[in-house]
Amino acid sequence: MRAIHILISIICATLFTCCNSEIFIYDFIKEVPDTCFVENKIPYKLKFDSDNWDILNVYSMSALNFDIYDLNGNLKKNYLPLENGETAILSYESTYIALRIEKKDSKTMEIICTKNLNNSPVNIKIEVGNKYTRKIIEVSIKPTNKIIIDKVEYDFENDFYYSNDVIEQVDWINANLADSKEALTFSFYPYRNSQRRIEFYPDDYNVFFNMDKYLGNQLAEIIIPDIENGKPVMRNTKVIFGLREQSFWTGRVDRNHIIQTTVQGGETKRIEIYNRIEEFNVNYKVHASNPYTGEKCIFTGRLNSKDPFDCLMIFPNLDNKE
Amino acid sequence: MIKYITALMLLCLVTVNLNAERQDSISRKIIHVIGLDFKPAYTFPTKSFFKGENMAESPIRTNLSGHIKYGFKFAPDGYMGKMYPNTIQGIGVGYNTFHNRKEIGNPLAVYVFQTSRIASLTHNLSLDYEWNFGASFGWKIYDAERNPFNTIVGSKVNAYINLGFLLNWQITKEMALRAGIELSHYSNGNTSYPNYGVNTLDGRIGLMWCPQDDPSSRFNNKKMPAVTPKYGFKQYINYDVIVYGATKKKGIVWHDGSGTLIPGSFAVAGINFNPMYNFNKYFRAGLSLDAQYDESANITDHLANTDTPTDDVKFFRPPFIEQFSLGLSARAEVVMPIFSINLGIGKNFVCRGDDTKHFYQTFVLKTDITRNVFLHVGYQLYNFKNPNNLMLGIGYRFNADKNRY
Repeated sequence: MRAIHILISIICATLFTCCNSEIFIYDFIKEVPDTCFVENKIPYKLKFDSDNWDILNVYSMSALNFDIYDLNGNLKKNYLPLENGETAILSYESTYIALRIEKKDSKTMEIICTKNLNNSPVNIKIEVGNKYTRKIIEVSIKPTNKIIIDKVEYDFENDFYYSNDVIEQVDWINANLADSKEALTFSFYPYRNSQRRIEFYPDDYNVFFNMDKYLGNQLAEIIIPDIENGKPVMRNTKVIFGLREQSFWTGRVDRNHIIQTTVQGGETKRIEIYNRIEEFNVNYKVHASNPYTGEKCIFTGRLNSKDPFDCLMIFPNLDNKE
Repeated sequence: MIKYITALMLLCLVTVNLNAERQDSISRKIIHVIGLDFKPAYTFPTKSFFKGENMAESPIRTNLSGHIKYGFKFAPDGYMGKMYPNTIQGIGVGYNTFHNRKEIGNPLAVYVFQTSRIASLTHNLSLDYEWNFGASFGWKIYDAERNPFNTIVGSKVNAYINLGFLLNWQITKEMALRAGIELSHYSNGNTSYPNYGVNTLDGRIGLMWCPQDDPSSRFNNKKMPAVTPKYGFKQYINYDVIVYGATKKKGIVWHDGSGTLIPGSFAVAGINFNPMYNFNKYFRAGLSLDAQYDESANITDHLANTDTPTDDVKFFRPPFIEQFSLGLSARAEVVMPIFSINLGIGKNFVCRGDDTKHFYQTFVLKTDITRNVFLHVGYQLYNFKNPNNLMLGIGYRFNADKNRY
């Protein structure tokens, strides 16, 4: 029986030592979520099954250049990958996105978004892995809440410019009746396209053109000044804040109004039609805030308004014109 | 592979010796036998290498071998001699040539054998069988640079298995001329790659000299051995419990069709519970509950590497249920002195994954160490053709003494 015991021991020892454990590695994350949905300021915790992984890269539609800090907040570097299981906090902040990816220990990764002003979720891919295997963590960062406009200020005292001497040509014709013996009457609609035109000249065009990210796809309206007796007054005229140029009918002129002139036979005459414009420029300051985060922001620039109020018919001297 | 086969060979030989001595203690006599054989063989062209795609640019169709054997049979006045009067067991050495020493080598086989009578045909002529099991040394193995065409043999030592049917002509009372046909198989049990194996169909002619033979035990179809238990043979059930283990190699085929041999050897371990109904002294059959753990099973479904193909292959360890299988097999066993040959076919019913969800076949040689304990040397195939693993272990036979004579 002693020999049998020895034999069994040899078999057990052989089996034990024959395990090919070198060929196996731990799967650091067995169940990768389809997508990690990250909401504003709510950390998304991802649990790992073992510690043999690093954050290798982060991909998105646009380049995300992370600053990488140690757990004490000291800047370590600004490039990936992390190596040899190092812990770190990856931080990215731009005008529209503020994002942190934190690896505080070997078994957890947290994704924290404090700002995503985009109107749709921002999708990023976090590549984690080791020498042998890499896995992609799909992350969808939900848009954060939009800001609302609290008030608009116009600096009428310092930067207000007004003029009603501006004219804009709206039509013209060369009436050549030199070979004709009969007179001909010409009719014009001087206000056919005479809308009030508003233009914004923002201090930061990039921000202005992406105003939908701040305010949402439904851009907010702001009240703009009108002119009364040459002075600015605030009624209830509204324009969309975020569209640089916009125009609208005010009812101040009759778009069907007709003006006429008659050219006699044998005459040659150039006829030009002008609108008289009431124009003003004023600096604006739009105050906005995020009701959820309390974050405040101010958008500044200059507002230009051109409002037709009369028309002119001019017959330039053709010789001079030449 | 070398250590396994060598160890098993030694154990088998020691066992044969122990049994001989044990028998000797009863009858005080065994009968020595010397044999010489010459075997011209046909090599099955299972791969293009044998068909001529080799460095010699010559088909390998034949194999020649010479064998010398020493064996013994139990004296006719003893218990085993009365039970199995025509059975001879022993060891043999065979030298082979495939006529291509450079690429395949001239392997030397060392083996245990057993031969016995199937039927007496005339007064001096009988139909016998013989099996050989052992190791063959000296193979030239596949080498991508030096031996690139030999995609057949992956290890220098391979198992040698042989089964033959012979006509035995008793020329004199001490000398017999034996001739017949045999099938031989050489492979390494998946302990290294490649392992397509070499198969030959052998013709055989040889002499067997039995100088001390007792005339009463000579081949004589008129005197069939008649040994009966004291109260007659009673059919009974014994229960074999077998624990076995082995290592195996595994390869992986990449998506581009190339392959890599996975480094290291994987462990295999198993337990069989095998109730066997003894129909007579030569044959028993039954069912076997077969549990096996295979460290390599289904690992290719858990490949860790993202970038493939690679030489630095790694895997995630599969769940236990994908490496474990529990099956039920039907077993038939030919019972002879010292050795029993057990054949089985079964199906795993507790399993998960392509590597275990199969029919399996087992070929086992049981070598008795004591009345209850035996060595277990087996091989398992999947789906009748795919080599799976060796089964090297030890077994205990419960209720073995039920029908002692």
